[in-house]
Amino acid sequence: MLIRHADRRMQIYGALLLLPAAVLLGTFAYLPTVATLINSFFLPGFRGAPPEFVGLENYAMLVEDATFWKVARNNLIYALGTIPTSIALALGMALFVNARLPGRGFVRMAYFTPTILPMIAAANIWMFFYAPQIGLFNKLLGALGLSGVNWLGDPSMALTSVIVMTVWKEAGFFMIFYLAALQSIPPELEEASDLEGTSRWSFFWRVTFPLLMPTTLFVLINALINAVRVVDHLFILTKGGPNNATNLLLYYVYENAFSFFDRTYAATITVVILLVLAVVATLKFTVLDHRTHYQ
Amino acid sequence: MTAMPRLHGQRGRSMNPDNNHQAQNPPSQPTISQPGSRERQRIRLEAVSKRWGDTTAVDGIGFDVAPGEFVILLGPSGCGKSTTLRMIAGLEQASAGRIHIGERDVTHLPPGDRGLSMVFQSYALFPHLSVADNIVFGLRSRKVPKAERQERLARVAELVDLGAYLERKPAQLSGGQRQRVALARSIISEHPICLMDEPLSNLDARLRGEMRREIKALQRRLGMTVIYVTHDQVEAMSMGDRVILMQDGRIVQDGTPDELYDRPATAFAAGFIGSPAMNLVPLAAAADGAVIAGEPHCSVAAHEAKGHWFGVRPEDIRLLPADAPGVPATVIDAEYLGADSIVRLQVGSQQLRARPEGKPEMATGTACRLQWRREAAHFFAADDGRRLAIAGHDLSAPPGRHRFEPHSPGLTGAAVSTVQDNEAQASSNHAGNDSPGVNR
Repeated sequence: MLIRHADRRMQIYGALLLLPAAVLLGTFAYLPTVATLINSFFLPGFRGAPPEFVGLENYAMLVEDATFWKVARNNLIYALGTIPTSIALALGMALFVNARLPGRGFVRMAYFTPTILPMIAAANIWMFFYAPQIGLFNKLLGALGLSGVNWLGDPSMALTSVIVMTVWKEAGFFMIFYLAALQSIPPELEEASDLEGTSRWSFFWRVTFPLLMPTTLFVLINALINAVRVVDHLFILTKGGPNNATNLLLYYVYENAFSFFDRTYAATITVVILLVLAVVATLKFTVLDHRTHYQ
Repeated sequence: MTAMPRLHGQRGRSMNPDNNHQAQNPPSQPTISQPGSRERQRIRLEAVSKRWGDTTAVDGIGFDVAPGEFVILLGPSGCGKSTTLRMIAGLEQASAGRIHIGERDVTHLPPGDRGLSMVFQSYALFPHLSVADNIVFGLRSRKVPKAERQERLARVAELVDLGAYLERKPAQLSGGQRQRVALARSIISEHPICLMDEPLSNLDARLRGEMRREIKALQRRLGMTVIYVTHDQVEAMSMGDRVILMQDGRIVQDGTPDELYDRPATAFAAGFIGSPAMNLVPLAAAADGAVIAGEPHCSVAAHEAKGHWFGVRPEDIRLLPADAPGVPATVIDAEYLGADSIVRLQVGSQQLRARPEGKPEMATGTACRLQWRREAAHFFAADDGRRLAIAGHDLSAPPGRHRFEPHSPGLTGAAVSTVQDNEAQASSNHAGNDSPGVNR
C-alpha cells in the first residue's frame, strides 16, 4: 500500500516535470497540426457564414492544380540542387579548416559568416549581386566583355540563382557540425593508418566518412527541412516569379493563405507537405541508420 | 594465451642469470620465426633532437637497437620518450640528427615507408570496423590479395586468441581484448619492427601482468624488434632486454635491467628504479670517514665520500638487534605487506626505509642496527648526481654472503675499511648480486 502510494507520487512527480515541455509542444506544434488537418476538410466561410464541410474536395482540387505541381516540381529541383551541394561544400570546408593552416580561426569565421546574417539581409545583399544593370555579377561579366544575364528575371535562370544563394547560406552552417564531428575523431586513427601507408583519399573514404555518418544524417534531415521551409528570401528576391518559376511549396502556402485568403486550401497544401516530410524522414532514418556508426 | 603454452615457462623471473645472459646477446637468441620473410634490421639514432619553439623535448640522443631486441624507453612523463618513439615512427619530424633503419636513412621518409608497425596507448582501433576489418586494415591499404588477407588474418587471430571475436566491434570488447586487436594489427603487417607506446597503461593491474607476459612471449616467438615506451619500471625491468632511461630529453642510462638496478648511473636512475625507491641521504664528515648526516658514530665510507650522496636499496638493508655491529637506527613505523614489510627508520637526522621479509618484530621506537653488503652501497656526486667510484665500508661480514676478506664483525665497519679500486667494485657488483629485489 505504502509502496504503491510512493510509486504514484513518483509518477506524478515525473509527469509534472514533463508538463512544461508537453504544454509548449502541444500548444505550438500538435494543436496547430490537428487544426490544420481539420481546416483542410472545410471551405472558408465568406461574409460571416460558417465554414462548410466538404470532405476531401480540397485534396481533389489540389491534384488538379497545375500551379501546385509546378511549385512541387520547383521544390524538388531546389532540394536536389541545394542539399547535396551544400553538404559536399560543408564537408570540404570543414576538412580544410580542420587541417593545420595559417589563420585558421579567421577562415572558420569567414565560412560561418553567411549563417550569422539574417536571411532578409543576406537576400538583400544578393539582390545587389543579381541586379540586371548595376549588379556585381553582370559588372564582372561586362568587364570580361560578356553580355549580362537577367539572373532573377529569366524564368530559366531564376531558380538556379535562388539555389546558389541558398547553398552559400547553408554550407557554412553545416560546416560547423562537420567541424565538431571531425574534431571528435582521435588523431591516432590517422596516425595508425599513416603507418600502414594508407593514402589520404583511402583514409577519408574508409574511416573519416563512415565516422561522420551520424553528422551527415543529421545535416541531411536539416537540409531537407530547410529546403521546404523557404519563404523569406523568395519574398525579397523574386516573390515566386517570374510566372511561378521560383515559387516553392511554403511560399505557395503563404500566397494562398495571405494573398488569396484561401485559408483552407493553404491548410490542405500544408498537410501534404507534412506527410511528404514525414515519409522522407522515416525513410532516411530507417535506411541510413543501418549504415551509421554511432560512437 | 592458449596459442603458446610452451613459451610460458621459458621466462620465469626476469632477473635470473640465464636470462641476463640472453638479454646481452639478443641476436643469438633462438627465435621461432613466423613464415614469411622478415628482414632483420638494426635501428640507429644519431644525435636526434626535437624542438618546438624554445622547448626542447628530445636533446641529441643516440642509441642502437639490434634486430630481435626488446628495448624499453623508460622515464617520467615529459622526459621525451614518446616523442623519441614518434620520431622513429615518422609521426614527428626530427629537428636534428639522423634515424637509420637497416641500411636506409629514414629521417625524412613518411611513416608508411619505414617498414614498422605501432601499438598506441589508446589502441587507435577504428570504431566502425569489425575486429577482422581492423586487423586487416593495413593489408587492404597495401593491396594484399583477399585470399592472402584471410589466411594471414586466421593465423594472427589464433596467435592472439581472438578467433571468436572477429565479427565484433571494438566497443563490444574488453580492454584486454582491444589491446590484442591492436597487437594483431601490428603483427599481421609482418614488419620486423614494432613500436609500442605505453600499450598497457589503460589496463587494470592484473591484466597488465598477464599482457606483459603475452607481449614478451609473442616478441620472442616472432623474433620482433620492439621499442617499448613506458613510465612503469616494473614493465621495464620485467620485459626489456635493455632499458634506456631518459630524463629531460636526454639518456641517463642505457643498459640491461640488472645494470640499471645494480649500478644506477646517477642519483635519478637510482631513485627511479626500485619500489620503494633507493634511500638517498647526504653524507657528513666525521673523524673516521663519511657518516650519514646526524649520525656521527658509524662511518659508512671513506673520507672522500663526505658531502656527497649515499644510496642503499631498502631490500639491501638488514635489520639487526641493537647489540650487533652496524649503523644505529630507531624504528619509526612499519607497514606489513604480506611477503615483506616496509620499515621506516630514523638514522641521525635522516630517514631510511628498509624492506625486511615477513612481519617485522620491532615495535615503534625500538633501537636497532643496520647492515648492508658493501656492494649494496652507492655513492653519487652532490653537484650533478653522477655515480662515484667509491666503495662503502663493510658494516658486517655475515657468513655466506661475504665475498671479500673474511673477518669477524668488529665494533664498526670502519675498522676494516679499505677503499677498493673501481674494477674490484664493478666486478663485485655482478658477482655479489644475490638479492635482486625487483621481482619480489
